[in-house]
Amino acid sequence: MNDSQQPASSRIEKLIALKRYECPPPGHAELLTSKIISRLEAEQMRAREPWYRRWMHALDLNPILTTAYGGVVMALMWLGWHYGEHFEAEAPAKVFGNAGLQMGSLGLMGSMSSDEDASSLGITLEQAFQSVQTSSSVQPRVHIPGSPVPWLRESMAARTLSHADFQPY
Amino acid sequence: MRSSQEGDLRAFDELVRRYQQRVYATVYHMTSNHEDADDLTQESFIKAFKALKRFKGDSSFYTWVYRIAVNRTINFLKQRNRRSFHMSLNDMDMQVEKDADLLMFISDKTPRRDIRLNELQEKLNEALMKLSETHRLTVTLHDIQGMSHEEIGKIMDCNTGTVRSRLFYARQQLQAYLSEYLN
Repeated sequence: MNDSQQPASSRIEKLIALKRYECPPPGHAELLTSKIISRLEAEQMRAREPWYRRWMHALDLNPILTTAYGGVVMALMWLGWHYGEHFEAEAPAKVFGNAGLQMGSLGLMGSMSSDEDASSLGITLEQAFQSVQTSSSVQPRVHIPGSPVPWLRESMAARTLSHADFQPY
Repeated sequence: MRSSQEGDLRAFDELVRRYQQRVYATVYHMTSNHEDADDLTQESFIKAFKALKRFKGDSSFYTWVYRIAVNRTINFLKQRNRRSFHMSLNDMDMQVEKDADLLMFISDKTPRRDIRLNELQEKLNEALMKLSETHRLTVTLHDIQGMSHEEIGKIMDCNTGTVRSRLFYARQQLQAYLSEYLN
């Protein structure tokens, strides 16, 4: 049978089979084998390294990962700074609020003269400040004149003394 | 094989030498790019080495490593289809000049025969790249690598009937794309 008379399926098979002659450059097989083995050796050596070195290596290789880590660290630092400032300003009010007291009522309590008046609120200031001390390491910086709490009274006295001693030029 | 499973790189080196050319050729015909084929072959063997402990020997190592390479290549091609790519074709072996079938497509009396040969190579690769990944793989394994339908079925995880039908449809499409060489 003549070539042109062969069925098209047979001709297409022969045409595709010509792709077998496409060859990689000489020495490619050797090079490819050595690349695979040296990559595996490098990975085996890396597996023996401590975790922090492997982590550093991963950062070296992957710029996206490095950027992501940097971003997370920056975000954490900003959050810490922002929350710290916010907490400093608002912490006492919030804590007193949690203890069932308002800043306004603290002022009211400041004007109370006896322990009986204070206990009429259902909670003593000592209890309130105890809850403050246990719930947070931040100390409230509120001084109340005539406070029934001993350390607040002492603090107030010291403050009054320092104001009295002050002499302007 | 057992030594390789225990992490012996020298034993694995033997396995790589034995099969890498065939794996490389399949990946190359699938991608039509020498650099991509090189990278994918390396990654396939590295993945095979790492997964070697899990290899139970249900199929031959050859089929197993082929399956890894084929899956990796298909995933790669799906990603590559979204961006532009260029063909970086390997040179034709000079033995092709002696192939009697070549005369069917390029006459030895054709002036500038080498140019016609390069043109044919490019057209052939372009036509193959127009096929879907599964059709291209079937044609590559059967018509270029010369594998049997059964072997292809094991690698592609399908039965021989599916392999035959994929081969039939792939050839029909190729006939349409390469009609100028077939008439």
